[in-house]
Amino acid sequence: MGSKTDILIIGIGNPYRHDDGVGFFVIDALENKGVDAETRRIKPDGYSLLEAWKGRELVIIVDAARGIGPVGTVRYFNALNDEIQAELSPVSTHSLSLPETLFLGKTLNQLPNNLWIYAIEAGELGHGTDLSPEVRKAALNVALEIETLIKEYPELYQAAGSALKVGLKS
Amino acid sequence: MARVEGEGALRVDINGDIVEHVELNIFEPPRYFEALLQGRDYSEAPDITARICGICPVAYQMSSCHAMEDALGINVDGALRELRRLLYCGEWIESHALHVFMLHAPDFLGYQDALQMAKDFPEEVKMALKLKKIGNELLDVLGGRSVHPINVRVGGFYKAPDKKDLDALVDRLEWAKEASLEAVKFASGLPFPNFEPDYEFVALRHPDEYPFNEGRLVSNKGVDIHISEFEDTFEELHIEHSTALHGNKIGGGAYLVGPLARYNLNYDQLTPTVHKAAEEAGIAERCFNPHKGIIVRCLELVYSCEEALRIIDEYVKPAQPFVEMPSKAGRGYGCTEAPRGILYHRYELDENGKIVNGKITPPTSQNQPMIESDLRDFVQQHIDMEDDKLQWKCEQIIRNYDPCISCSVHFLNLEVNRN
Repeated sequence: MGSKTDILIIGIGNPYRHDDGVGFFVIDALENKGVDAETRRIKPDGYSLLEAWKGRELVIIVDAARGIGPVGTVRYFNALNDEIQAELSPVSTHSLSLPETLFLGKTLNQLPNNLWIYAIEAGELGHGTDLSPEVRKAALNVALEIETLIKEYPELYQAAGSALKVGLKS
Repeated sequence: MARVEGEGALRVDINGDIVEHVELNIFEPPRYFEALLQGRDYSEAPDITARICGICPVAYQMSSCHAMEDALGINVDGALRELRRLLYCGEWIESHALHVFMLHAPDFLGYQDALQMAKDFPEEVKMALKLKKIGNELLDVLGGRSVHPINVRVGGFYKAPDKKDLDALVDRLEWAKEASLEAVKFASGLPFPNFEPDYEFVALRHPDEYPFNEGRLVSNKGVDIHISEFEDTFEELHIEHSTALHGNKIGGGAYLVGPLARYNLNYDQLTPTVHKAAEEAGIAERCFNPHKGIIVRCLELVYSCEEALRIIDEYVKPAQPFVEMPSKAGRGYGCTEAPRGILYHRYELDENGKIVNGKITPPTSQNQPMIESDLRDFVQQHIDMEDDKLQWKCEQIIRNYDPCISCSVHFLNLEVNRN
């Protein structure tokens, strides 16, 4: 099992589109806590993601989502085990969506050993930098959970099977 | 339509055995960049226009920089000029690698998209992603980041890279050159329809180099002009079915810009390695089959890697990263070779260096009439083809041009009406 330097936490999104910046917000919060893992902010571009997570022991992704529940709802996916129900959209020159990137990563055998995804239901996605109160609260909870899990990884994860599922899911 | 950038649709009207009408409907809304530029300082144009496209921001930065420098009477040469070519190498590598393998190759191999193709061609897709990454790395080192670089300014760069930062890319570029040669072999083995229209190719031509940033505008049908004469020779027409303007050669009709045009008009400026690979691919010197544009893009990948290696080898960090600019009134022209073809900019500045007006003509606008022409000819030649198969082939023809509809809005659902 790898050391904590093998852990990469990625925030995906656009900090200038209100709640789409929740991934970056969680990374900011984790860095302020001095989390013992590498952190990275990536704007939506699946190609960069494939490269970033290749060969890692554990990668945690935080991203805004639509359609998983009321604003601020958090869903956790174990991307290597869970089916992520999302329609594959047409591939364009500019980017791949997260489900497309997962599909391509699985096909090319270019995935990390463990890949966890936190999806947070967004509300406001117009121009602006503030998060909705519900999303901000959810983001702080997600940061807290990730901080705890990193401290305990891999022992807690191994002991609980999937410690995340006893967390703050709503 | 999948695997192009932007939104559009294609309508084909067939009466009996005759194709009566073909129209490429572009319904992305206009973005009014030219109007946004009015009143802004000349120095803002590279960063504002770069936002027109996430794949070819370098092209917008380069064309606007050259136009401003022309207006202000400044010439940028030496190491700074070489760094601009190096930046363009990065953009061509990342753009061509993605288009060849992720967008275009599935057409020839019968896959819905690259995600499906990856199951049977994993090594090719991995190679494409690695090639793209190397292009991005060049943009990172030179431009500060790979999408919408922030290190480009009128007169040069905000910061010139250290030699060691460029030398660190050499091994990966050597790999990329060999991978690109493999890509040429892969592309030349694809099945190509027999289709060779009598094109007018338009591209830059420079006496000493394969064109990125500078040169005269030439064609295989008599055009040989300074870029400042662009608007005397070519025009943009409003077409009812398209929010994109349509390029037109005045008195000449449709023309083709992009890799096929560059290749046919500048073959002699390519390297011996590219010449050998082209001969082995069976397209030396002359290639009029637009489907074989996929081979030409791979050859341009080889060239971009070799050119990048040459520039890095000869690089000496300049004493100043940019040339100082005066603010003064003037009119300037810029035309550079985006991965998809020539990108023309023209600006008029007031005495304070503020933009009075600007004109931007992207490659996909210029190619649209030729895309429609290719579609009309192809459908006429294959009038009995089943609609499903016809749609597939029509999409392939459109993708031959690697169109960037978002840029041209200026893209595809196919509607075939048979009477």
